[in-house]
Amino acid sequence: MKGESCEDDTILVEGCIKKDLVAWAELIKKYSNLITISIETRLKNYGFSLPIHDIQDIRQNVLASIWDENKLEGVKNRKNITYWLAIVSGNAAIEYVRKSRKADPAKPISLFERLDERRLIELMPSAQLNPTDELIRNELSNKLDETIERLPVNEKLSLKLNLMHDKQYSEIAEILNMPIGSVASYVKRAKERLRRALREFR
Amino acid sequence: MTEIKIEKTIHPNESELASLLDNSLSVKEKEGIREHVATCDECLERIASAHEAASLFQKNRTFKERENPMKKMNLYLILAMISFALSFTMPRYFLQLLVGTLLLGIKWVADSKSTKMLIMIYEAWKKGGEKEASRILEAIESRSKERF
Repeated sequence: MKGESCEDDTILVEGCIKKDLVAWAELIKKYSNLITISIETRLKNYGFSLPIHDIQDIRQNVLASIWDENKLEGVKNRKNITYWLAIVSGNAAIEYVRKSRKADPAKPISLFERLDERRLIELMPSAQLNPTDELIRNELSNKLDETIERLPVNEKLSLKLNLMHDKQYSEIAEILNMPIGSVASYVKRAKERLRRALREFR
Repeated sequence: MTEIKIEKTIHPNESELASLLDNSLSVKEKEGIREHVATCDECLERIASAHEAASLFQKNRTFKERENPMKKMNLYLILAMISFALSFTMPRYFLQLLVGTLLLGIKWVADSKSTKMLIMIYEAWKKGGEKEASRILEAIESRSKERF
């Protein structure tokens, strides 16, 4: 992603702020697809799937809110609005689900609950321990959360992105704007700390 | 830029999260937002999803940019070749198909960007001489730079 989207959006954004219709048409043409992808991605990550007419409704809402509230005025980096638009669209999708279904699409907070079995066994210090045992699960969950809370910021971020969001090192490096080597060592170090903390379960 | 101090309960706004992704924050701002995101799973989810969506969008766009112009450009060429081949297999319509081939061939040549530009420059040169032609060239150059 980095380096590829080097087109400067400044003129386009400034045109849209002035409510220039040509600039708006260009913005819609250029980013309509991004809005749709962002909505679908965010919903997918929350385990939701909506029919196409709902997605179109959300897209309309996104564009209408940007126009009505002149949201582009608050954008810091006008050179590239891709990420901003992706975040705004994702948030609109979650808001839509909350309002239309009266459901809170919040994910479980605990890292433990979001880890799949394979990842969990990878971190377990002993192969004989069974993470499906209810008592062990609870204790393990608390211990994991505690240990992760104490990790340094970069290790915590790299580990969470790797374990909870299934991101590869190259993707984490892009998200955190760090060299891949640093990400790899942060993840490795954080996993080692977790293993050390979980040793008492032997 | 002013320093941003973010408490755990106050989420950074969309613009700040986006700036974290595109690396347009100062070191202090970055630190503040990173600290928040590290402890706030909701914000981490936001940036992870935004990154995923932006990467998908970029991939799609690069693919389209690579694929579409070629398809459009070659469509007339393919039709011209089909028409040419048919002219031999259907002798009754030989002349009609040959004219069709010629027209499609001309359309294929005329549709290319460089031909369009050449025609524009020639027209300008005919109307206003060298000055007008160079003005058109400059306009094309600046438009391609300012394109969104």
